[in-house]
Amino acid sequence: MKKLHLRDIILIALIAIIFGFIYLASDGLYNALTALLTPIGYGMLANDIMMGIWCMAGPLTGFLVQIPGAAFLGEFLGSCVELLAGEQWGAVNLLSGAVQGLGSELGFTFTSYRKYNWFTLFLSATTTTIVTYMYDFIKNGYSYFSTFNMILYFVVRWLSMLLFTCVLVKLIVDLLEKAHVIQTNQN
Amino acid sequence: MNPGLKLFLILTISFEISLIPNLTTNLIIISICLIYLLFKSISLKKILLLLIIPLFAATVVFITIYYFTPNHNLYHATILFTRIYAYVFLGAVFTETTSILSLARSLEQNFKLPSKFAYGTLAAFNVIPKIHTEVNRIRLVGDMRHYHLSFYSPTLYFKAILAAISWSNSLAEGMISHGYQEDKPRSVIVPVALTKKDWLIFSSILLLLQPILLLTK
Amino acid sequence: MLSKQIKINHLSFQYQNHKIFNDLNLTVNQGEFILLTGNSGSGKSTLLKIIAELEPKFSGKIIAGSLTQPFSNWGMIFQDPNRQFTMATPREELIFTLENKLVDRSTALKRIDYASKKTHIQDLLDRPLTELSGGEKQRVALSVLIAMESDLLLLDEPFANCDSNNRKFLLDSLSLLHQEGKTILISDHDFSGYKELNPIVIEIKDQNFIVTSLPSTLPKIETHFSLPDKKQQNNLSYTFNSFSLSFPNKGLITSTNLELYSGAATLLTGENGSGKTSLFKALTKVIPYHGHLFFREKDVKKWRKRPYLAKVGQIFQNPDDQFLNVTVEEELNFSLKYNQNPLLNRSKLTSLLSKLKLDNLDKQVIYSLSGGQKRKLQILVMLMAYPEVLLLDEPFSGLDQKSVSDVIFLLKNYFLNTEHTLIVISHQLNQIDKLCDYHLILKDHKLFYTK
Repeated sequence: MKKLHLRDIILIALIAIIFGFIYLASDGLYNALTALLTPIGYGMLANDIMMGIWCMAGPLTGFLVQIPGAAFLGEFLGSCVELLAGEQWGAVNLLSGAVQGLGSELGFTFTSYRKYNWFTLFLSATTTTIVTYMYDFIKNGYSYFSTFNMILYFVVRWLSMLLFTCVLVKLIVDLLEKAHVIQTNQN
Repeated sequence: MNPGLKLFLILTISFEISLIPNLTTNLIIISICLIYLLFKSISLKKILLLLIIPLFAATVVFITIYYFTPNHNLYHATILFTRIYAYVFLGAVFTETTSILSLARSLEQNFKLPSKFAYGTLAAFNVIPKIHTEVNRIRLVGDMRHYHLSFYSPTLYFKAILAAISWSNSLAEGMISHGYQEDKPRSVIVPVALTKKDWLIFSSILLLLQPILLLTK
Repeated sequence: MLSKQIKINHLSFQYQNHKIFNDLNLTVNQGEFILLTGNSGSGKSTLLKIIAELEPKFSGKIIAGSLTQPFSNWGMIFQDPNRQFTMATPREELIFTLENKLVDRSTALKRIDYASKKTHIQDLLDRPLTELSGGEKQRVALSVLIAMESDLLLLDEPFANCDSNNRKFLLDSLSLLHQEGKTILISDHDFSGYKELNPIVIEIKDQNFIVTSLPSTLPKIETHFSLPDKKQQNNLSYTFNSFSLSFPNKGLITSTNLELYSGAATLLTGENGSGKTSLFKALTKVIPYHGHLFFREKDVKKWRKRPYLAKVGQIFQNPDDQFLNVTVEEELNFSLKYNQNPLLNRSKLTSLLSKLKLDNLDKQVIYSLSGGQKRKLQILVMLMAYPEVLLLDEPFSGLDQKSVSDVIFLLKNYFLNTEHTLIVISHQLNQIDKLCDYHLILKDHKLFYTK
């Protein structure tokens, strides 16, 4: 089995960093959404609406560097960089990063790192939804919600994942494939 | 304290308070961290910022849990509110007292992290300002060509990833041309100590935490 | 002691679809000083990377022949000084390097001391690399190779971002290293300052080598420009009023008053590192400036970014930066969709493409084209965006003379008129007076017109 080399690690870290910049651009939207939804009791839902954007690096690096562990690192290194950048959230983000990374990676694991197509991304989006939801269930108090809201939050998060980590990532990957920059397992 | 061990300690505590809802523990952690930060003479301005930064997120969680869940449980809402503060203060204790480089060296020397992870990530981290310029230039070009690129535009990500590929090649070549070889032994010029005292602090804090977590509310 | 030899035997190398070298033969003896020249895109970097065994990697491959390279302790300095460091400061980089080389602590400290003295970087050791100038970074890069005690030094256009003082200092240092017996290969497009080094000069041309010598007198291109006549000029595009610029921490331009005119093409020259590209960054709102800079009678600071950038465009040094799509066809269709240029439309474009020999490239990935093809496409794309001011940063690098005149033809016929302004940074002065009306020079932190 191929393993990660220095260049892959730098690439994955850089992609994690770049996605970090782009997410920052969506910060305003997140805050606005939260402020808007809080009075009707759905402030925390903004988190689930945006979740897909925050989890794009994993499936993307998993697709770009087709080696086991790449998707995990794409998410996890992103949180490491936040830690290195001296962010106060750093330490706890490392945990979230690991959880998100695990979620992304599982999708690729279930397809044995052989298939790289829509289905893989769909699977990865779904595993990420399940794993991160379980973590927030405990960590962020989703367990206190009514059953209806528990389901609602899950569905919203899943839709967000499908939109960003599946559809948008696939569009990006298509561009990259057309430009012949994806390293495949075949060579 | 040894940077790597300090990180593991902070992570373990963060993880435990994520799993076990306990108000007393959260409050104790916040107080101890606060005292520690004051003791390390962190400026009051910074501490004030630490109190303000999480306020928005913590309040949203509090409102949602207290007013909009079936049980309207004040205790649960307060736990989640303080939990967010505990995370931020734990994080600050780490980031305010540890340099990145010493962490990387510690993970490499004391915890056998392969050097390619330590230095690969560091190389990427150190060019953040340049990468930022690069991403901004992509947007600039978009505007110059009458096409605004926003955060959901595949083109923006595509161009950014092309840039990342080119930078990762250059940085890897740069490292190799400075004598770096993957999976080869390296000497230690700046040693990072991992002492018995470090382990003692680490284990006693964790030992002390468990009864508080399990026996208080 | 047996002397070492680098041997290249009948080597052919290709990158993506382009053959870079064909049946190349070269022997480099230990202790030689070799100066590689040739047009940009001719393969100078590739050759150095092949010798360093950094090539072939993913997209390049050796299709025939072989290389013998017995120097294991080689070191390399790259053209872009930003992309070669792992660590945040020079001292950390030196430590990282010496750890890679398994040097113990006490030896390392001595070597760091020695290398930093040799390259005059003692005061820079603990400064962040991101804050150093291009020339300072290359001095740091050389100090690393000295500390490593490399016996083979490979330098790829190391002075592209150096001012003349740093260039001279680095050349003197290389001369000393050469006297110590180091083998040195350097690529450069500028011959000045090499005479005392007595190098073997090798030109890369048509996928192979020609051994030549330094030109006895450096060719001087005579250029004549007129000075703008204030009475005749009433169309101002930019007005500088007590304008000054520093970047990153270095003062580049001090208190300048100046006017730039529309309907004209202005050449901007100045030494490497003097701040020409930084001036373009200020003109495109990428970096801040002090004082006043008016565009169409409104301070640039007050212009909102998007409407401003629709009026002020730039041709970037690296053509890849200009493109937003994958294939040539997509790129051109994209440009046609947002085309603002009344002189260009689909049929006009088709005829231009065949004139420029860019036809039949439709499905090709734009990033895999040759440097010259990319450059011409890049200019076409910006002609269609049709800003009022177009800034060109080294638009002729990597172009043969025929392509240079093609580019000038495009700019004169499809861009320049009384409403439009061109500002051109260029080292290459051949044919430049066919394009430019005025000549601005950036010297000693001052920006002024000259003949």
